[in-house]
Amino acid sequence: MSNRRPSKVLTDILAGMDEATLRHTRDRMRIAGRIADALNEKGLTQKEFAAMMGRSESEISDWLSGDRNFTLDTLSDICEKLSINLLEGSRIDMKIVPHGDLRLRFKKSATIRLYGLHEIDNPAYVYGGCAAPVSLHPLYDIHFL
Amino acid sequence: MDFEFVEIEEFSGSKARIYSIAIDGDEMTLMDHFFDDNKSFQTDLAIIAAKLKTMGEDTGCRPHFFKENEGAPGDGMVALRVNRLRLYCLRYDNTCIFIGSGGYKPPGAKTYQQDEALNKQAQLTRKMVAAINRAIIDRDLVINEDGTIETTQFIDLSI
Repeated sequence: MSNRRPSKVLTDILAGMDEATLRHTRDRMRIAGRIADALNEKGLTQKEFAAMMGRSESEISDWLSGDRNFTLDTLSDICEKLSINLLEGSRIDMKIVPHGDLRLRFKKSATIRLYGLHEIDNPAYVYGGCAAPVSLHPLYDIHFL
Repeated sequence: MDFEFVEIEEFSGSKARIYSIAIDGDEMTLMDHFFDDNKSFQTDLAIIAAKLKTMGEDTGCRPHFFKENEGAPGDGMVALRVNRLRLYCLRYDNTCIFIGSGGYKPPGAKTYQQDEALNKQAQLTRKMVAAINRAIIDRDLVINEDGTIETTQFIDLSI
């Protein structure tokens, strides 16, 4: 149809739409999509996910609609329950190893970022975060599978 | 009433094609009338516009963005909801939706049947949905993987 007359209201809305509004909407919908993908991969229904999160089904439906402006804490909880990463660098993978036997094995495809290395009594805690790789004490080897 | 498909260029993109229909030679589509008829809900309309634009260009028309099962069982009629505004559509898949009509759903109405004005728009959309599904079954309407549509000369688009 070549002679469509668009709604003036729609035309004005689109003309006045600022970048922030569009970006907020896009990001909310993208987040909703990633949560939905995780549910599909894990074979979880919305009802089961609601139970996991201690929320109502209608709230989960609202989450997935792409309207929700999540708090960081809620996103963090979702990441934890679904084992996904919606917040870059938020997952803290901790591995406790005996002091004298610190060999960490990671998949080659894994992105390893270390921001701290502490010794507390005997165990050595090695944990990952979101900083650039740091040099390691020579006692510690990291082997990639 | 006869209708024709109109691609909504403001929203169609690489991830989804978004259509509406124009009835009996109307210059405006059902979607255009929806925006004009509900102009008092500017903020909600802006969100609907942003969502449709995002679906077309970025995310596709994923099912969880809509409230499903709004029409007859299995007919694909869904609702795009923002607060109390409802825009009824036929969601074919992630790459293609046909936008019908809708309106304001009053707080006291649990279903659209409980509000005369909204019910009228929802029923109009149900007729659109039925006609489109009929055309698909009859193979007079083919929806390609990228959401583009092809029709035969025999297609019957009437509601």
